[in-house]
Amino acid sequence: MFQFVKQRIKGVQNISQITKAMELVAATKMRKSQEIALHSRPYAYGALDLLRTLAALEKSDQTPPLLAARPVVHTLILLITSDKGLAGSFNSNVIKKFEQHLNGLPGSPTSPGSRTSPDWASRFVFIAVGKKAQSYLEKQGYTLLQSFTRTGDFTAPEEVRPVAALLEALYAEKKIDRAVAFSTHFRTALAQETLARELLPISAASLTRTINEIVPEHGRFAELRSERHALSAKRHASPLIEPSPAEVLNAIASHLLHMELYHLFMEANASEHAARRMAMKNASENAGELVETLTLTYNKLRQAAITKEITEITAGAEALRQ
Amino acid sequence: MKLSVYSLKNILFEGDATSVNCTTEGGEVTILDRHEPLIATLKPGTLTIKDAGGKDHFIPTGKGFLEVTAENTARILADEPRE
Repeated sequence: MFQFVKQRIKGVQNISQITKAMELVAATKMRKSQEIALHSRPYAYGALDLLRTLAALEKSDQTPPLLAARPVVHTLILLITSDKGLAGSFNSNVIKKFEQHLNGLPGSPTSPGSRTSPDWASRFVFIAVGKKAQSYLEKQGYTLLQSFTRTGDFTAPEEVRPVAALLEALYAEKKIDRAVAFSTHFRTALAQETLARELLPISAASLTRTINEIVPEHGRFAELRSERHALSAKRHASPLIEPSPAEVLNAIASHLLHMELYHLFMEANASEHAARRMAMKNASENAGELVETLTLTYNKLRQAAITKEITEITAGAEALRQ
Repeated sequence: MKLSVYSLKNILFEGDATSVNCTTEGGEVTILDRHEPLIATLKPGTLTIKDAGGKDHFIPTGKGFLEVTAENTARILADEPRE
């Protein structure tokens, strides 16, 4: 009997070794993805600065299509999750936020089944990033326009390009009038928050917010938060602009979209690793507790077996003596 | 002039340079010290930078932007070159 318990103790110990290893791996990956995200800050500030300069110079009514807001008929919803599980409530939080958002909309049908009704469905376009979002949306019966999976542990800028290109094309063709992304914001290594962020039309305010959020609130790298990236205050009279202000503004707009998406992905990456680290830490702790209780049971059972044997031996000896 | 070259992934160059050569949509340009303010879009190509020490740097880039300000700084934002 107690051999069986011994086997279980061994099993739990093996699991705790694995979860501990996964915790360490996730912690390293989290650091790395944070570093990658921080490397892109100068580019982000530069692009934003350029947008402001151009917006100030370009006085004509021609706002580039990506920056122009229009009445919303069709909304694109981008769900950003991970491909892999074992990350605690990381993915379910994104999904919960998305459902809350849907329920909060005026005219939202209450029963999940009616969400697929034609007139409701025609108002939305869904794009899934990550296998978890894909399988959730498919299970709920939403029609997915496209899904992007297998972006790996660290998203490269090239991997984001097709997403940005798709969004840009849809917006230009007026198939969507607004794009919202549900993703996880990396506040600190211990706290992540799910946010709904407006992607399109592009606005300088939401871009600035995203860029400022690259630096975590506490912990490592937090000191960069106070460092001011002074956006050049002096507006040079009128620089030469080639080929033309409108064209440059168009080009910068698509770059900004690409950049913002890249940041959302990077942040989701960092948050995924952070969430996994926490989940694995909890698992290791639980395994430790389990080993303790099992050891206690094991000792009790073993003692009981020994006592039983001794009783049998002495009883036998007694019987012989008589 | 102060020159900085950034991509989404990395800081490619930061420091003093005497000249930088790049290909804009309108053609090849070389920016020297105290160039007049300029904003231009870049075509994929290779940046040739001569730094303050006279050393040449060659940086392949994708599409991007060039911004020269009146304060004698130049900033290049570029994509990673496509393989």
